Amino acid sequence: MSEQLCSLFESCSMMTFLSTNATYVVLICALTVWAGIAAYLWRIEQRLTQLEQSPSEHTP
Amino acid sequence: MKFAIMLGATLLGIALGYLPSITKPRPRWWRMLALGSVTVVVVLALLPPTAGTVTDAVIASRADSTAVVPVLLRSTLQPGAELSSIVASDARDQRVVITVILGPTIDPSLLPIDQPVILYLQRYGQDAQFVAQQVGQTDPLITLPYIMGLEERARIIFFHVPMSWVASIAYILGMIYAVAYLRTRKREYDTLSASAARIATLYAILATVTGAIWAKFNWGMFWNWDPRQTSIFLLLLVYGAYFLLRSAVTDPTRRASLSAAYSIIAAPTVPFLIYILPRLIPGLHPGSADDVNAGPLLSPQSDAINTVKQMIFGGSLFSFTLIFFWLVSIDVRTTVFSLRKL
Repeated sequence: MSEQLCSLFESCSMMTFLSTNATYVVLICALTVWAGIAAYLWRIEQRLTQLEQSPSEHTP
Repeated sequence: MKFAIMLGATLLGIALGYLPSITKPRPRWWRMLALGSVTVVVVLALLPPTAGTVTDAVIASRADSTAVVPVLLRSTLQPGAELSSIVASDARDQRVVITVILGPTIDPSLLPIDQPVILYLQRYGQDAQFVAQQVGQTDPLITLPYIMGLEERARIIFFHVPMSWVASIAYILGMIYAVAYLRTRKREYDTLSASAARIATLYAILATVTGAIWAKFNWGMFWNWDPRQTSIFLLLLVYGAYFLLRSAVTDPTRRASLSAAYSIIAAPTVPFLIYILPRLIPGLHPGSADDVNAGPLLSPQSDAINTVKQMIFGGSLFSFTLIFFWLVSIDVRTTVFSLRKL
């Protein structure tokens, strides 16, 4: 299965483009880092919103 | 010099990370510094062209006669429209003079004279004779060194390495907070320890993913079970168990002491799995046991990282350390807020 997937990728023109223009590979890596941080921010935002909306014992 | 830049950048990042205490909000100047330095690093990592020396081109052509190497040259003769070749010297070492035959796609009248220019050279017969396939940037402000076998892919050092570097510091930080918790039994230290480990794991996952994407284009496969990949996989398993432990225990005091004890046992595996083990075993990753040196960063004799690259790398260590402290601060403050609300 994984070999089939790989050969599917190899035939893709995107892969050929990336292997000849390697700076874009690094750009993808930079975007991956950004995506990871963004995913974390998304999660913490949801957690905070949930906390803010939940009724507190201390508020009347 | 190299070590001073790397250590200085990391220590400066840690010092600034603690400037307003981690549990306090980040001031405006701090946030602007963190975002600004990341932006500068991304631009400097991707925009400057790669340019080697004539020696790089000669060495690369010996390994592969079809290799095309970008070289920073200064042409010394005015080329007429009828001329098909020029005499040029290495822009960094004027004593090295070569003959460059202009390829069919190059217009000789457009070639800058007596100005450094990047030409993409392929060897033609002798060592001192090359064919220029393409003209690059004229008089580039800064250039990155050409590394045979890595070329443009060497730029990953600015994103991938700081991730695992900061992750290892963060895991050690988590252990220090775990020790502090066991000594003082203050809830705050447990929160700090867990947050540091959480963001460290995010960074370790990002190091693994960026490494895998890079490996596809450098080693041919996303995952090769290289010693480096295997060791970070083990590290993720070790810390996966840490979070499993935390979520399995419901009593907060018991959870805090158990996870503190686990963190103290787990953290010593970090330097072993990141710095020692991959250097003992032959592998594909730079700095493996069969590599020519300890890798471009740690080897004292390597010239694979020049001053420009060292500065940009120092900047990326600094900015990703700041981002780490920012994320930990948000995480800690959210946890403290949720504990207060309960």
